[in-house]
Amino acid sequence: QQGEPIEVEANRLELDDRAGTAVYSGEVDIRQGNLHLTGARVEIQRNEAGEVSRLTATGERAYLEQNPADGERVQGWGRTIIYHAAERRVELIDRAELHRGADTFNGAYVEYQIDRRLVEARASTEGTDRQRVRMTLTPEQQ
Amino acid sequence: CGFQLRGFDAASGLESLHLAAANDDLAQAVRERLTRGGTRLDEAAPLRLNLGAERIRERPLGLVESGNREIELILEAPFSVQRVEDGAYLLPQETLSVSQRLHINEANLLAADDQRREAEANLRREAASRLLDRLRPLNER
Amino acid sequence: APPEPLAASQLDWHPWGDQRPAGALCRGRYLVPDYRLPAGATPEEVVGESEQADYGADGEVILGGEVVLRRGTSQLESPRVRVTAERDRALADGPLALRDAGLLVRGDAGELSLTDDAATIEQAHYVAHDQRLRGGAQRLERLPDGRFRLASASFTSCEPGSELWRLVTGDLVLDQASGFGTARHARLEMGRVPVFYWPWVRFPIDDRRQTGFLWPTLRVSGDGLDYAQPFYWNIAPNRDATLTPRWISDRGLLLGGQYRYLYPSDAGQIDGAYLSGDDGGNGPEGSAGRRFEGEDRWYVDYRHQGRFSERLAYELRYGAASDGRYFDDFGGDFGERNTTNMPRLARLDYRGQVWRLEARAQGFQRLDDPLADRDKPFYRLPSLTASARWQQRGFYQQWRSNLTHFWRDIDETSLPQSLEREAAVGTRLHLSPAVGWRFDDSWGHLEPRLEWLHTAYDLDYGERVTNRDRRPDRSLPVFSVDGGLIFERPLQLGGADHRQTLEPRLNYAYVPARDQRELPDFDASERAFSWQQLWSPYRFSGADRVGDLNRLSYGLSSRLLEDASGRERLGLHLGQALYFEDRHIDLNGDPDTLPPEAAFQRFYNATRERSPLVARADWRHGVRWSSHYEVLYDDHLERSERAAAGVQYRDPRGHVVNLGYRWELQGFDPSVEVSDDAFRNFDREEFDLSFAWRSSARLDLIGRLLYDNTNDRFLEQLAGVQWNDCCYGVQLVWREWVDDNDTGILADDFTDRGFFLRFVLKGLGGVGGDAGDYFERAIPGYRPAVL
Repeated sequence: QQGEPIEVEANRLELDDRAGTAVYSGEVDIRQGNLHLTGARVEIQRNEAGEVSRLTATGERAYLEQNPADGERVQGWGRTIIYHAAERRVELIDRAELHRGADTFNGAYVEYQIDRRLVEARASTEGTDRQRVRMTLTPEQQ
Repeated sequence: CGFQLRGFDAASGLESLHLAAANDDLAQAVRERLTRGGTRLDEAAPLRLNLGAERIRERPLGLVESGNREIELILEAPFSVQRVEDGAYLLPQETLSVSQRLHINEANLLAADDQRREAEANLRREAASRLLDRLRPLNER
Repeated sequence: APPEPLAASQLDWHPWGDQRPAGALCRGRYLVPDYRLPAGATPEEVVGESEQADYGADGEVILGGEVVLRRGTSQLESPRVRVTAERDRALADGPLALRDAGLLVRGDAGELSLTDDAATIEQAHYVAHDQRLRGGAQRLERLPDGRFRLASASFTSCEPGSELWRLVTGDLVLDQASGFGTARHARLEMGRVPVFYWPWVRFPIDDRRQTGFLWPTLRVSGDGLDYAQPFYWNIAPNRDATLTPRWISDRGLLLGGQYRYLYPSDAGQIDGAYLSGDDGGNGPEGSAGRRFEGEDRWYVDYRHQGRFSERLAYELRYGAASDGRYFDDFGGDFGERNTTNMPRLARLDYRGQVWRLEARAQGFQRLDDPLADRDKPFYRLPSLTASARWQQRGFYQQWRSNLTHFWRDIDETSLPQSLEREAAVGTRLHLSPAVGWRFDDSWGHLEPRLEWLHTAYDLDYGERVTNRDRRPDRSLPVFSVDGGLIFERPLQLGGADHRQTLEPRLNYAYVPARDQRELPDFDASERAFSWQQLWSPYRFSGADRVGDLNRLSYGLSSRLLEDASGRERLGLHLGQALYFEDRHIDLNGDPDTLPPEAAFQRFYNATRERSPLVARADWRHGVRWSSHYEVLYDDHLERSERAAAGVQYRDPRGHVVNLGYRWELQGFDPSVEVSDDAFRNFDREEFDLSFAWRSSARLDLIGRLLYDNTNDRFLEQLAGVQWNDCCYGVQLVWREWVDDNDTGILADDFTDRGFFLRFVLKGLGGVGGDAGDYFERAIPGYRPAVL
């Protein structure tokens, strides 16, 4: 999936070929396959092979959504969202919130491993104030 | 000195009353006293007298030990009077209490039993007339 | 054993400190903190908060760092919680705290169901705030239906930090819905010292059920140490039982019991007790207390009332005791004896519109030891009564008839000649029809009445040789006329409208004298003079004797009634009787003789021309004070034959003071013969002071003094303290009283004294039962604080 084409809409684009990064800003909306990312500013980094290695979205309420063919839809919010393409891992940082199926997680830092569907939330991480992790768990309806 | 035969200045007793009472001897005594006093017992009467079950207690006077004992018989019964149309309590729940002293001579237990039953009947008559006193002022309201 | 209790601060306990309210019995109170999380959108939703959360591969969620989970009304706090993939269970590490409505449980580890209320907590400590109960358990399970099951648990209502009492059990089930706890292998510990053990016990855990469970009674008295330990078994909402093992140091183990049942149309109870091999008590050799040493002592008392229909009711009663001294030796709470005979009765009672029928079989076991033949009561086997009344406006007719067979098991030949009239058994027919005319209005009444008494006997004197008539009979009229007027006037008193009545009354009665010497004496007894006797033509009770009478009674009553309520504030009554002929008939029944002048009081009563002047007053001064006075004054010999006065003070705060005075001339009660137990050869003058003082919410002071002024001795002295604390109550009573050995003779009186300690464990269904009723009888108007 890493190699799929990326469609980007944004107001401005700044290219930094030397570092291999592109920074879009102003209502940025990025799609890559079943991944959708929005934010006030999105930085795209590419590896030597030119493939996208990391997307970093920042903004008042950056948003990530993924609809895996086989699993449940996942939605994430945060002041900063880092999507590690190779590891297929997402980090939501500061005012982080993750919805996975019927469960929701809030906190200072939430990390989600897409393929292994693992979530890890923490109440504090460097650079944020202390935000207790809050979650709602709805038992399966018997 | 101002004394007049009772009943000349105001209506004498209640003219009709609904007696809601337990099925015991006190209710019977009250029923007789009311009818003798000229009050008609009628389920549709404007006032309802709620009369609880009688409770007769005995209290020894002096030391209990010797064969000849003097006791005080106390009859108590809760009662209240309600106006049927709006359920208002003209006489809120109260306990009617009358008592009488009685010699109990253990030498003749049958006589003691008779005298005790007579005293209880006497207490019921006394309680009934006390109840009538309490009902009399109600008929002006 | 249950875990050691936690510190008070851990159990939501907040001491009052110095701003303790006046009525507070405990030194602090439980305060439930608010929830730390708002509830979820639906009662099933689980809301959580933690320092970190890991959502495992298989859907398991692991929460760490001050985790708080909230589901509906329950909230879990724990350092680490694992929620299963199916989201049906949460496994929490300790130290955890589980809260629900009115409940706190702390523990070392726990498992909570997320689909219902079930939970299991290890090494648990719990507090039920509303019922002020707390304790610990190796394991505490909350079952899906809301009950709690605790394994090797403890249970107490004492405030945290107090070790006064606790119940330690194998397993314990607390059912707040029904309000009961059930325990197995339960032992009661007082200050960590085991005091009692039950293999199985069920007890109330809230005050819905008033009867107490565990109020052990400890008595130190003439009979040494006396420890009673009742336990209550609530079998069903309408049936319960109390078993009371009572260990008396010098007598042995007395096992008492009571079973009660209540059904829609009938109810009943059976009480009893059994002691095998009485060790005799610690009285000196040959003393009354040792009379039944070595024998089995028991009593049983069965009562049952019921109703077949609206008109047909029945009653059954059977009482029996092993011997006449049973209640002397094992009597009431504080050594007082209140049972003098064991009644036996079977009664069927039909009340029709006009006719009233009653069939009755009746007898008594008289508890008097030794019991002479002449003192044995007769049985009525049976007594059939039919009575009716017809009324046409004022005129009425009454029919009363009774057929009774009297029987008793004595050696009739052994009775002395003077008591030959009591030697027979037999059947008596007694008819007493009457006609009368009753005029009744609010201003007065008049009632002339004529009654005809016809009595016939069929007697059997057994082996006794006597020429008394076997089939005597007697017929005579009883004429009486009773009339009275009621005058009234309004009266202003203390700013309130009152009404004062003036009620003159006259009553003439005439009964001719008839020879009744051949008649037996089954149930006849001469009545003592009283206010009621002024207006009654009958000088005897029972039907074997009809006293001749020709007298006019006159009386004047005045009553002060509150206009608004009709309540009687003051009642004054005066009355006297004029005798136009001497009264010849006494138990001997000879119409032509009078009592010998040597028996002065009986001769004087038979020949006096005027009865004592009766003066009575009942006065309700105000809400707190009331008093009663009565005197029977003989204006001929200028002496009072009988007098009584009483003043009562009732304070809403709970204080009660009663002051009483009683005087009675020797021989005043004609029914007491010289040979009776009750005969006493001195005038009776007694002062009676009793008080209860609620000095604070925790302390009641109780006292009673009964002084016999004639013989200058105290008949009873009682001083008591009732201490009412947070989780227990103590009644401490010192009582010294005269036991008169069932006779009026001074010589055989002896003083007994005892120190009684009653201990009450609150929280185990509160206290009820008969604990307080001795005080209520000794101190009229006193309602002991519900401990």
